[in-house]
Amino acid sequence: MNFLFPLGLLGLLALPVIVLLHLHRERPRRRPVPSILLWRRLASVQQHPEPRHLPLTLLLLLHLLVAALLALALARPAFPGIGSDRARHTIVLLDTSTSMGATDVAPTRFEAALRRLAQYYDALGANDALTLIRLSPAAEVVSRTGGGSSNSVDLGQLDLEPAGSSLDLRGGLNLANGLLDPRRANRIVILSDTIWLPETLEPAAQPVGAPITWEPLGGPAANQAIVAFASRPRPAGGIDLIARVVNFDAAPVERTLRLLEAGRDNTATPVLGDHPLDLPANGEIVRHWVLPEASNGGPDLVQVELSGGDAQPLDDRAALSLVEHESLPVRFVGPEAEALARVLEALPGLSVESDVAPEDAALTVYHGELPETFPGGPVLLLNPPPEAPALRPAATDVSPLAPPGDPLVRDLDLSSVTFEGPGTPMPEWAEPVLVDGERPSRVLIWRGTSDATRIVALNFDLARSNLPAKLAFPLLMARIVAELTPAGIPSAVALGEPLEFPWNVDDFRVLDPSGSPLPVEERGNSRVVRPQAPGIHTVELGGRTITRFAAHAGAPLESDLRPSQREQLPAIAQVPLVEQRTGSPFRELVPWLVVAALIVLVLEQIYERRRLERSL
Amino acid sequence: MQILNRLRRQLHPSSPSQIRFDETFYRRLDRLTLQAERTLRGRPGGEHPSTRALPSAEFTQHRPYATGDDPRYVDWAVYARSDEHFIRLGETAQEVRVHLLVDHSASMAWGRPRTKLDSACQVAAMLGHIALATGDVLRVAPLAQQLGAGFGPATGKARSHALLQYLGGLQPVRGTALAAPLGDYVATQQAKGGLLIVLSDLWTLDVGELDALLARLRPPRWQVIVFHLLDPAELSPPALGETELEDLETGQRVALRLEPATITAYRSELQSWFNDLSRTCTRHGATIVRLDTTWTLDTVVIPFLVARRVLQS
Repeated sequence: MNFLFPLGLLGLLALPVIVLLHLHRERPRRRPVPSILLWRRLASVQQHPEPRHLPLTLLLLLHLLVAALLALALARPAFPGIGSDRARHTIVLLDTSTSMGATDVAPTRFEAALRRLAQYYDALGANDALTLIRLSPAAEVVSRTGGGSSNSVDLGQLDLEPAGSSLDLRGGLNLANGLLDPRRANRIVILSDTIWLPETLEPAAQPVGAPITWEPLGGPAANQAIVAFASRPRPAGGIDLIARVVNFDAAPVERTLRLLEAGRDNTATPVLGDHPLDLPANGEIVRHWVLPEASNGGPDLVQVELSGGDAQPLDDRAALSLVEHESLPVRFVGPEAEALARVLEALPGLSVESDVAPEDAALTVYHGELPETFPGGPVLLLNPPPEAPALRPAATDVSPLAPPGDPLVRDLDLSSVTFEGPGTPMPEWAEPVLVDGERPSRVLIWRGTSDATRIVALNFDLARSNLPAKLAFPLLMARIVAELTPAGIPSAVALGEPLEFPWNVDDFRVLDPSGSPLPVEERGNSRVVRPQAPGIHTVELGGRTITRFAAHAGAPLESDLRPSQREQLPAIAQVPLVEQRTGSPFRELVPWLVVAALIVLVLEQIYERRRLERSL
Repeated sequence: MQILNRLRRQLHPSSPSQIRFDETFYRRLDRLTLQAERTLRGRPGGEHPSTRALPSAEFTQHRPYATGDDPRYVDWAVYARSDEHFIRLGETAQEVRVHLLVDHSASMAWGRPRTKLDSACQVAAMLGHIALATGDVLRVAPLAQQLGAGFGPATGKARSHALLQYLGGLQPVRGTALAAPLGDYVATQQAKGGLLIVLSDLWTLDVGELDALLARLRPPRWQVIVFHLLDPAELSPPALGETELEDLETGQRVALRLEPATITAYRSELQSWFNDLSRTCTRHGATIVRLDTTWTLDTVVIPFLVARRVLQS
């Protein structure tokens, strides 16, 4: 048996109090009389009254029983496994999207969800198990517990925050399906506020093989949000700032949008402007400012705030770094391919530099030659030489089959392109992207990863091909660069969304708005962080701040706290849905205890009345 | 209404109780007189018969003339026959000094539905009105630890309203003994004597003290009537189990198990006390009348007092 509110057992302290009250009540009653003249004579002959002892009366026992029952009821005793002999496996799908930070449920929907989650943990029996799956931004298993003492989980250590602009419900259900335990009675519990993105509303891979209980948290609530806050350089100098404020309410509302210069320590001052907003019902307002660049005395960091309060405070402010990011350097090895260099220079965020150090290059282009070992960063091979030891061909001569419509060449018109050059056999760790239609054994474009180096090879001589003259060339190169080099660090990202940094270094860290380093996930040659709090994040490399970016909580779908697509859940899960708003994972004994206490109280009243009648 | 009155009395226990008699009751009182002893000495003119031979037109006997006698009462016929001057003597009605001593100690403020003090004041008002209506000289004195300011001497029915107001204003006060104030009062009135009526529960008057007091109030100068007022709960207290009894007068407490055996023993002690009081009063020629505070004046008290020859109609 568990006690859901163990502090309620303090109510048992009422028992000694009741005993004391009965002792007090049973002491000789004082009764005034005109004179004790005659009584005194009787007292002298009457045996001295017995010393006071605990009066074990039926009334006392009834009072103690009522107090004990109510104290037990206050502690909320519950049996986790009543009615089921089988061990249970509970899979909790926890909505960790930003909308769970709404405060229409005190203190927040997410805190309420964590409390429910803690109850599920507390309700685990010795043979029960619980799997926790986080749904945002992508479904992933956070913790699995099962059996005995391992049931206790410190939720504070699980790094759970309401941060994410998408909800991978379908992935969560698929994960849950795969985690079903045939030895236990499985059930799936969804703790969500049902603000779901449309793209998640796809059926699960197969019908979920366990009953689903959905516990909604919070209800429709009005909210106003800054759903976009962006900047762009003006051609004539200066920076355009644009903020988009949306009213997710059926009634118009007046609020004030304040633009502030944000300090590096995330303090906002001074005020750059106040703008009253008459937000129409279900409408939006876009505000625009022009600021000088940071290099011309403008602010490095700016912040906008919405005055007043609403159901979601996270999206009432947004920050932005106005410092331009440096371009990623591209290093050429071998004779420079003029057409390729021209295309790379034209791509935003890239700059072709001849004197860049190998370790600093964001992309290395090897033209007609190959090193002994790859440098570690992304590599583009142009017409690689045959017999290169780094490109050991496959052991067996298998005709490669390029998948139709590879993302690199999808929808590109290459029908009139001539590919000349010796060509090299594709290494065994590579996969074909484009195969010569006339000679299927010749791979024209391939990709692969060798010693953690991502490589794309154009296995033909670009100078002898007419590809640079085709429209498809810049598109193809843009796709290759996008695949090899992660996008540049954006000035702002959505809260909870993973952000990839193309640095395979150890002394890299990202500080959140409070100055705490974010957990860094290694992903190949990149590092991935996931902002958990809105505000300015600082990127440090080698102990030096190299840039800042903002994490925004406002998003059109997450900030709209009104829609509820719960009716679509059965279609997603393909099983009936059980909605449980106030249920408990326990079989609570409170109702029975309260009923028992009431019965005892009635008996006590009957007894007391009869006692009074007898005394009269 | 009774409930409201009780509630008001409980909330304001010190508020004076209003004593009011209706017209019918007054007419009934006007037909009553206090049955005073003939041996009492008072001034002529009242309604009480006297054994004293006074100069009177109604002849009973003669006595020799003495200087200062009224010549109107000289029996001139005897003078004609014997040449001696004799005064005609005869029985005549007299007025009596009536002393009403009302115990208003704290023990009298006990009892339900009305306190013993309320009952004592009502009985005193009734007896006082009868005395005033029959031409007696009335004095009322409150008895507690000390002798309080009294009422009177007064005579005539016109003072009846003032008497009722006076009695209605009596408040219970804490006191431990009545012997001293009673003795003080008797000392001031010793020369005059009269009908002395004590209304008390006698809890604060020891039998020995009563005996000593009555010894000073012997006939024929004094006629003493003691009204012993008791509440029914004093006669038959309930069996309450473990109880701590608190003396209203002294504040002293005594712990007892009030069980049937204890109640029986108490009643035995009570009866013994009654007997002692009765014997003491009888020995000194005093009359003791025990009154239940629940008795009503017109239907119970008056017939009882007539039967006990305290009143006569």
